[in-house]
Amino acid sequence: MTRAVAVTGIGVVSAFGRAFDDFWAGLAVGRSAIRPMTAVAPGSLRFRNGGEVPEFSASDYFDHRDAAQLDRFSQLASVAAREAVSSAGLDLSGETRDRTAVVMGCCSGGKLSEDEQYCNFYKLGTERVAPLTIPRAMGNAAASQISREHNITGPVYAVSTACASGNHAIGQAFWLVRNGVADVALAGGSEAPFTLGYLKSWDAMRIVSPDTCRPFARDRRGLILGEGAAVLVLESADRARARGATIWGEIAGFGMSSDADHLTAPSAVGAARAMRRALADAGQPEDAIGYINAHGTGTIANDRSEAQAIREVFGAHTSKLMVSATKSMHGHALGASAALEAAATLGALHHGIIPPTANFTEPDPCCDLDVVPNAPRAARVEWAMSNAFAFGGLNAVLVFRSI
Amino acid sequence: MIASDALSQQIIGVIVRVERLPPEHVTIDTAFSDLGLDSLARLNIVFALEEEFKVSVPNEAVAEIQTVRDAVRGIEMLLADQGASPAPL
Repeated sequence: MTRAVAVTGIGVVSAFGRAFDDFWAGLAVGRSAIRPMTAVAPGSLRFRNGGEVPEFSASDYFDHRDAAQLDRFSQLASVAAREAVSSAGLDLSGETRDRTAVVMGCCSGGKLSEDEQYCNFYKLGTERVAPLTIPRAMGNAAASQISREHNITGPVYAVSTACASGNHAIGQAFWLVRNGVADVALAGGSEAPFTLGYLKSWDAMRIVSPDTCRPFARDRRGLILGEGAAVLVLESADRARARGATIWGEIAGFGMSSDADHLTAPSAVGAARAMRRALADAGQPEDAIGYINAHGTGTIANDRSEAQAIREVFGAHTSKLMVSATKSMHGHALGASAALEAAATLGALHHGIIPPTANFTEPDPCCDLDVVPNAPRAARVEWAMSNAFAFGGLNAVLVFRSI
Repeated sequence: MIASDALSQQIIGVIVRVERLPPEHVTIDTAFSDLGLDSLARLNIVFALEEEFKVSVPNEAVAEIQTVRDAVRGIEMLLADQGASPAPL
């Protein structure tokens, strides 16, 4: 029997605010935090709304030297990690720091730093680019900052699998702890995509909604971008109990797959394969699952394909499943998204409240699921799943258990 | 509305250039699926047409452009809306 892995701390920075409590308070009542973007003048974009972190100022959290070294995606990760460590009551001194891992997901690295400096260079004709552009923009910057702040000297790295990064990160950290490679792990994802050059590139994909995000609804028009970070503290359940930590839930299974097919179009076969592998890793049958936090982006293609994959895996049990897409409330925060959704799933298991799919209008016959439309639902669920399916055809699924 | 031959030829020229196709493979009746072009390739063609004709194709219209004729009709309508005439060949 492999050892159980408990989640003892959660930190979240999101469109709802700079703490997990803000995030959960919004999700638990089904309130969407999608609103007009403020970081950029959207004049040349076909969309106006996003899930930006409100009123985040680096100087509230970092001295001027650290602030100058960190892109916003690392700053958000750092703040989420501080909350996760403090809420876990974790002591990272002594030998523990050598037995602790950090695995962080990120889709695109420090885009704000790059965009600003390249714009200055190309367009404004500055002769020099800021000397810290490279270390600010590197994809592992957030993982490194968390390691440096907390003196963590175990395995530390970043994974980049686009919109599945958060689940790949948490899943690998889960396996590190379960297999005894580390005793403790900080894992999650972060992303800060609100800079004009990057938003313009998303616009060109023609999958960003001009109004809001309505996953699984017949009149859905695409995704809404979000930003933020979420970090979980994982440790062996024995260790967590021995030190009397609060346990939010357990991570019980992780499954990965690749479509090996189209660059951006989702594959129900690949998604189903990842879900089955996560169930097998958890040692659970399909009908154990009560709630799925869907990838649910609100694009025509994803939601149809994901619904098909769920039906394929769960068969007759599908009608008993609650499936909600919290991206309708926090937006699609890319490399942070699956980590935010892991936090949402743990909140659901811990509080016995299923966050809804917000902004829902009318059902799409191609997405024949109980999507928990608009209103949260009180329900005690023992086993839950959280899906993430990325551009590039890379899929990662986690299975959670309530305690 | 009947598309002008000149406009059709200009659009076929863009498609042939962007997708590096033998010109004889593309006619007004060609469907993009016949050319083995997927959604991303269509996205690239629409981008090239927007650049060529200085128009903006709405998101919802992109999925409806399945054939060369669809593209010609769409561009023709957008140009008419703008009150502009097609770029000279």
